[in-house]
Amino acid sequence: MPGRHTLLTAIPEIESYPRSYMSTFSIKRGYNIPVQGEANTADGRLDAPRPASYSVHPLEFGAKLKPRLKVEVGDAVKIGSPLFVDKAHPEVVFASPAAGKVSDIKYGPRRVIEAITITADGEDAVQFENFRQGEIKNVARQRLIDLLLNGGVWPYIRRRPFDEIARSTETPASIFVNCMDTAPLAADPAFALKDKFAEFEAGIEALKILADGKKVHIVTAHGGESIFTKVQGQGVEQHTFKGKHPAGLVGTHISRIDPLVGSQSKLVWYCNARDVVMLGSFLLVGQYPTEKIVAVAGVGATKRGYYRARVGQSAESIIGRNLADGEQRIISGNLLTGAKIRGDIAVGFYDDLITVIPEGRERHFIGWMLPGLSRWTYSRAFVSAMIPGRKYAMHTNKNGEKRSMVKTGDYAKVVALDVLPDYLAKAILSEDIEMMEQLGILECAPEDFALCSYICPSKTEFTEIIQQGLDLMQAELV
Amino acid sequence: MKFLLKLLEKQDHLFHKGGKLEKLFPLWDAQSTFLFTPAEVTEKGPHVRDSIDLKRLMITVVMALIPPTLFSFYNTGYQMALAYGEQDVLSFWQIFANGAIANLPIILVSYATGGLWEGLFAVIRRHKISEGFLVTGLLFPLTLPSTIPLWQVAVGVSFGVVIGKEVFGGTGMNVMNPALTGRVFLFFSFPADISGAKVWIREFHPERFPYLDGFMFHDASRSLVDGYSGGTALLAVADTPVGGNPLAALSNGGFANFEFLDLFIGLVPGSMGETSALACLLGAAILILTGVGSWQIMVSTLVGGFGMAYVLNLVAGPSLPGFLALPPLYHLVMGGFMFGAVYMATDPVSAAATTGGKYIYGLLIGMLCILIRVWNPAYPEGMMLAILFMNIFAPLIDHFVMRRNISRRLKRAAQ
Repeated sequence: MPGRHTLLTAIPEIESYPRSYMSTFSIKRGYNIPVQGEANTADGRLDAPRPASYSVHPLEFGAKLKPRLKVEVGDAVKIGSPLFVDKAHPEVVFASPAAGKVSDIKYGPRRVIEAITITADGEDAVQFENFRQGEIKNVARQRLIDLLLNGGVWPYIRRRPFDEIARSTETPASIFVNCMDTAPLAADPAFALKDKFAEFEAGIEALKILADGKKVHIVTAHGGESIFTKVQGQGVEQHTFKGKHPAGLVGTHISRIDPLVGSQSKLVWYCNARDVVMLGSFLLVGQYPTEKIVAVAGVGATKRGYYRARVGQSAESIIGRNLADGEQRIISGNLLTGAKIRGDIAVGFYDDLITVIPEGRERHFIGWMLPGLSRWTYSRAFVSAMIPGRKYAMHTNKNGEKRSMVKTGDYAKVVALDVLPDYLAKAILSEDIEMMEQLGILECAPEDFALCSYICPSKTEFTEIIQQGLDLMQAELV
Repeated sequence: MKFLLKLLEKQDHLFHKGGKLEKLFPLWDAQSTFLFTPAEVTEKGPHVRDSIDLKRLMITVVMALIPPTLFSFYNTGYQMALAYGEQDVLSFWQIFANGAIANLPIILVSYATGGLWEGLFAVIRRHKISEGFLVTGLLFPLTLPSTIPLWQVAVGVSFGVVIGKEVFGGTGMNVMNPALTGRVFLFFSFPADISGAKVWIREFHPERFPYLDGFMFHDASRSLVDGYSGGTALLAVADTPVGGNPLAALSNGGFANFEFLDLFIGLVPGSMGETSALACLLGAAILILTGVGSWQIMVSTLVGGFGMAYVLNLVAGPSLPGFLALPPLYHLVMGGFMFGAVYMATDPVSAAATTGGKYIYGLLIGMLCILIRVWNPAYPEGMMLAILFMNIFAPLIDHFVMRRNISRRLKRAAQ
């Protein structure tokens, strides 16, 4: 019987796992970080300037991906020309987001490819097959897979466990489409993609074929209509989630709707709404899609809003000079899981957000003993806890030094999965593969535990530990 | 403060890799981050972090320890005054000062000796000094009688820190509460100085405390009051005859007359910090309001103690020890029960960590404490032993909670 509460139940507040679908899920646990600097929607979607060059960064697809280059410096490329493939899965093509000339290939230590830069010249695009809206459903599954692979849009489809690009030879237990984002200062996909219904619908059609008779789950934020909730039909199920972060993470959705438990070989695929729009756009137009909406947020950015940008466009070409004074950190993605980037690096392939916040290198006199009226905290150990609802101009200071983990018992309160974060972390650190699996590592992705790192008084890097556990587990399963 | 920060930063290079005083980095870092919050920024996500750190966590516990500490100063002075019949002669502040003069050296020795070990281990092991000792250094002396010889304080805290904590790898790795480990060591090594009826009231012993006693407010011509005994309430109850009424034993102790309210407020003989249930409850309020101490553990310990005492009340009869008939509420305000429940049982390192586990852990501490008190009057202070015992079982309790999580996952898979 699901959801039975007893004294021994570690997490009494977790709700039951309903077997009836098409429902609203209310996530009781979680935390919204009280940070200032949301992207404003009042200005609509602004046009970002077109930069002179674009770049692709193979490393962002994970350390395990070993790229095999298909171009050299000086080669002419079109939008959609293959730049590199994955050595382990050479069918997965990574395409050029711009037309012009490959002007630079930058290598890092041990000759990892850090960046491939294309100097733009025109809008020439490779033309692939295209379809009308009604035609997509008649495409055979394998043909569709080949099309998506060759067109360079396959990487938009990812899989769990292990959070990596989907394998075209596998069939998932179901496909999740995440149309919400509860991360701090996240872009609102319902606003960013409001005029992309046709593309979204086409993308869902494609996912239905890929699901091969299994379900496609569309998950939206509870309350409010959007283009996402209009898609209905055979094989598609609509769900809504409400609650604090991580209510909007796909890992949370999977755990409630089709959990990754029982078998090591069970897997699901997932896309974000913006990824589905890319797939749909590719199929309708027959060209590699380059337009993406990127939100700029964070108190370090002075012109916060939504920008119509292009895939491969650098962060600084979107932000322009609209930075606050002082040393700022530019993050591709959100404050919890985004990547710290230089301004000349492209916004992440999967990201729709640039967050800018000040670096916090200042030291404060006996800061740890003062009442702390302006210090943000999940705990109640500062006076600021008496002013609920207050938001802060947060900076990057770690607010303490690393110590051994002290089990405060709070970690489980900010993870929406039914796992015991501290025990899982300890199993990983002691490399106990069997225990890790029993404790549910296969349900987990690092992002599910980002709030644990955030609230930890010993400054334990939970996200790193979980990644380490997944790597160990994956090495074991191969 | 800019000047001080500049001064610090100027010396900083000496202690970093390659610097002349590189080996002393843990000590340097401890004082540098004591004065100024560290400058370290995040490397990767999450890019922002909560303001809480171990320093803040521990200083909050120290703040919660202030009520029993201050109360211990007054009570030690008050018990001295009572013993010499000076309670109406001396003013409040004189009584308080006498207690402070008696107790502060104990606290200072505890901090100094324990701090020395912490620093030594940090330097040898090359890790940063953990703030856990801020709490242990105060918690430990508060569990001792104010007559404890200072060398025993040093030995006890050394044992607690080294054997109770550092051999396991320092704060966060230890199995048992270091303060209680130190106390239990003294308890079994030097029982005459920490148990019995003679140790709870600080008397004037110019030969034992040659410097301290000279500073106290005291009329040297006075001698101990007739009939003065100095035993604790627990000792008085333990003397209840078989089948007797424990409340009569409490109120007819001759010199001492322990009413419930006295025991609650705490103006009675006992270990320095433990006598006042009221002060402990104030501390509990701080710990619970700040979220630093687990209310689950505190409440379940009280429930366990109350429940066990209630059951024993039902069992009590003419042929059984009279102690069994002591009303449950008395148990909760006597001895170290409240102090242990609020400050010792809730130590996050040695307690159960899972939510369900905390309830069981607390319940068993409360129950065990009462059982030890009642059935084994040789150890009237059952709390220390109960908590240490459950410290050892906490991982086992958590293990069962963990197994439940695992079996829940298997059940979901079967659905």
